[in-house]
Amino acid sequence: MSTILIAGASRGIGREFVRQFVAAGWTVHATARDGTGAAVLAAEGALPHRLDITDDASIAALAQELAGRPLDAVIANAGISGDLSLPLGAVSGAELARVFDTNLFGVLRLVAALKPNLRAGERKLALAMSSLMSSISSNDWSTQYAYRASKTALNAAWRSLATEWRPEGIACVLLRPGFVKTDMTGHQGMEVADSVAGMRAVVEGLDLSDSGRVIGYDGLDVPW
Amino acid sequence: MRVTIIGTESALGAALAAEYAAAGHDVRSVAWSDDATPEAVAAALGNVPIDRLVFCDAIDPPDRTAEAVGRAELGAALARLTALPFRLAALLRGQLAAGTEPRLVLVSRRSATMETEDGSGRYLERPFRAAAHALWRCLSVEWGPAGIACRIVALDDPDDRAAVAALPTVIEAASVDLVDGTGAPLGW
Repeated sequence: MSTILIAGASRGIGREFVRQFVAAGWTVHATARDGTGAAVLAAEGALPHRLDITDDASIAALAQELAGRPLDAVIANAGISGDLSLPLGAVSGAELARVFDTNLFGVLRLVAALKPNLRAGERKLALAMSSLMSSISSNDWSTQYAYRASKTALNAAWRSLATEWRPEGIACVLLRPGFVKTDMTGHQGMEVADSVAGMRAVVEGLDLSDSGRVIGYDGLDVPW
Repeated sequence: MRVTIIGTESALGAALAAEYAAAGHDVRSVAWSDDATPEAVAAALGNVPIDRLVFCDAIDPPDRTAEAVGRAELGAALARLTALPFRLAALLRGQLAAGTEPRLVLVSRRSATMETEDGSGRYLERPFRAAAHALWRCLSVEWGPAGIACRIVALDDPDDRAAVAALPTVIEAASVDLVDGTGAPLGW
């Protein structure tokens, strides 16, 4: 039986990942920031954990809880959009720091902390969530500055991570959910279940040759 | 031309300022220090038209493994390589708009582009230069139609004197958002 950890799982895309991996027979560890979220995850059939991805002590505590348990895959799904209403001239260094702290620093530090679990797993998949907004070549309408920059930075970090971990057989891949009905999008877009089903199909087919790619729910690479 | 170079504490920035000065341009140099803020630097530069605003640095952080890279040093790299140029450029929009055929230029590194294969260990540089590229693209989309050309020149080696000597020419000729040190278009 395969085992996965899904971080940032109490709502939206993360929660749907929990549902679908549980339904597919995986052992699912899932994280939420608070006890209410953890209770939701337990009700979905996951093994709940508390995690604040912006807190290194919280990440260390999770790694301690999971010590010695092989993980086939980690999906670092936690992410924030930042204040999308800010015009270009109003995006401060503090706003960039706030968004990067979750979307890049926390995601990278979480996956790194769970590297021993991934090495012990069979599938060895280090996964996180990118976005079409990460694509510089696709950007002809600007806006969403901090979010875009954080996802481009995540792509760059994952390219480096893929090179670093390839000798140990760990595939580092980013997923693009598409524009999905979640709290982050004001419930506009496609159904969460459809996006997650697409990404799950991508995950099922991944191997080391895919490391360093950014792959959409539709199976297509996101252009740089 | 009225040229402002940010980052003349670096050999790259100082050499570029010297190139422009030797060619007879009116050059203002800003040496960045750790206690500087974009707001203070913008205020010190005053409300004077700028024809060429060029961001340089010689940041070459140590390699880290993914397990070893720390949140504080990631934050410092974000502040220097991403937030500083983006925020200061935003604050100087009016001065650029008052310039003659103005150009806003980020001197970056080819190693920050996504097609680069071996970026292992470069967690304190690559993501933040790439993020700056993403934000420069936003600037280009919003300011290009207003006549402010926003360009990135991605060097292979910031210590290559010939490449630095060529920079003013490359900056004038760059017709797409991202070019290499010879002026040839690069992929993101």
